[in-house]
Amino acid sequence: MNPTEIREHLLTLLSVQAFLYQEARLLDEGELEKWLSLFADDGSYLLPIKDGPAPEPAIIRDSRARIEERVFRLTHTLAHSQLPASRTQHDLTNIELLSWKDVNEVEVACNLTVHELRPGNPFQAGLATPRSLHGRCRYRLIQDGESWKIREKRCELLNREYPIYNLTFII
Amino acid sequence: MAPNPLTSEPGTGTRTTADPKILSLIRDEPTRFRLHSAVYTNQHIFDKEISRIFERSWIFVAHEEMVHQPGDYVTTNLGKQPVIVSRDEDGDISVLFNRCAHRGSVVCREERGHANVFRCPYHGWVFGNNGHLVGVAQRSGYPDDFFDWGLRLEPIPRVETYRGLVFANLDPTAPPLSDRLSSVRRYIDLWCDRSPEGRLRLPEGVHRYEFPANWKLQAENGVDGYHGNYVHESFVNILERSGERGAGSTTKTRNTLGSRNFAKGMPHGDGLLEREEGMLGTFDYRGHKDYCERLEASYGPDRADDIMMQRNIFIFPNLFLFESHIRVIHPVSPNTSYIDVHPTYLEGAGDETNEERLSEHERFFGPSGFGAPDDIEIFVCTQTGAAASSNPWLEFSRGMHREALNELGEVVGHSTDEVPQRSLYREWLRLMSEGERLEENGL
Repeated sequence: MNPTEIREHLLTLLSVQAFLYQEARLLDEGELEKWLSLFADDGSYLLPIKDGPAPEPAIIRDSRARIEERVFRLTHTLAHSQLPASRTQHDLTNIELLSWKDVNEVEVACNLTVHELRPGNPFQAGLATPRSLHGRCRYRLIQDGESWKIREKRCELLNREYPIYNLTFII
Repeated sequence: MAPNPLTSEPGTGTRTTADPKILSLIRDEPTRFRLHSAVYTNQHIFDKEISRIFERSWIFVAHEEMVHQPGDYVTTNLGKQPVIVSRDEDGDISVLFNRCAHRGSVVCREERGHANVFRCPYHGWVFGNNGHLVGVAQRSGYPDDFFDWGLRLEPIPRVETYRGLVFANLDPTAPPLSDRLSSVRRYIDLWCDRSPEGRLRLPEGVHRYEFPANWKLQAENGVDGYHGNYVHESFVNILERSGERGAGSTTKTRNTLGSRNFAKGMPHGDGLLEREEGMLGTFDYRGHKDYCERLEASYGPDRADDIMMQRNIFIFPNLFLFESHIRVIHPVSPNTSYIDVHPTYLEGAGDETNEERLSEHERFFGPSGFGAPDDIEIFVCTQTGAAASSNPWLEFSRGMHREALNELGEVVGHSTDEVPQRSLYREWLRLMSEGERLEENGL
């Protein structure tokens, strides 16, 4: 990269990082409707089980409409698997721009660790025990004024094809 | 404090021939049916379930489609024992113990794959995918007659298939599978015939859950028509929001004693929940005209109408055939279980129908679905609550006063009644106490 390209690359990387950290913070603060507003109108949210030609069953294969349902479920309904609601901490590392020369759409990879705990009586199974989930994320982000919108968020969990307990919070 | 049947004197039930401790776990009275909560929590009972139920019954091990081509295999557990389900070069399916004949190591560590041979990682012994020993390392260390010793990957004594469902049984004296499935077979047929060609296809992706509760909580709940309005209130709200169906309609389905909504208990512990609209009724087959026409062309209008009913079919002890999927429960310990949910595609239904159906399946099921995780949460709540002992009895009495026996030998009740659960636990008790007798006789 020449100096101009390095500068462009760094500015884009910093801008994308700030956006992803904002997303993580909104999730960890339980601001799910603000989180939803980060998605483009055609945005999607995917937790695949297998790679391969669609359609394949996935843990999550949400269109924008279904992301809205997911947020509605967590914010407006009595969902037993989120009573008490999970506390989360989303840690992002290895943030890397995979494609950035198109100023309108960038592709980003990062590693994600989500620490999760459901508060409540610690003598009861499933409560007050911290868990960690690990995954590799790919984002496709589109330019939206000074910031970004998510066209696709895809997270391949380390244990995606194995038995998982209660994954009803947002990864 | 009520007496604990595991440590106290025998109960006062009328049966006196078999093990009193096991028999006292269930109180089966004319209009009341109770189960002792030790069946969820006790390690001794769990161990006996493995040896007396899972190692003596026909257990689902795979769908034929999972081993479609010669050389395809999957590995699983039969009770607690490791097995390989493999299709050999002749196209026959073998179910083999995953245990080297030499020093006992597993010979395959993958869950799914394709192999002509399995090679033991310890000393390199090689077995064909039909189990035969084909080679050993450093052969001269064994005498000339070595290959006559009969060493091989041991086959499971009994393997039989019905409509693509492969069952295995560790008991060589077990009656044939056709006897075992005699009552539930009609429902298996209706389930398979949702495909206009009568055949299902299974994608590789499987929804899998782990949860800290007893396996039987899922067995009970899968045919429980009573919990939907309460456990799945969230999903009902989602349907209301999207305008697909009002909660009023769902509630009506659950509470009307309609002519076509039933819970049934069958011989051998099998059960059925049969409704015109299930909880997952958001996918409407009737909106898929091509599919409906193909179904009617294959089976005629009357049978096509019957096929369209929403059925949760329980095949004792750990298999469900749900509208959209095959569900297998794996007991791990008294308070740890796994569930595998295999979504199905209907051959001949068309891509659009299959894709929409899968999408609706994903909406409710899987560890991030809008329905199934709420069921699992209740299993966990029950597991914790079951430790309280002042009244250790669980009530499975609902509808016992209004159930009836039909001409097929099925006990039929209101769709919210606990008929299938009583059937499940009567068979559970029969096998647990029969196993006790067999063990006492050294069998």
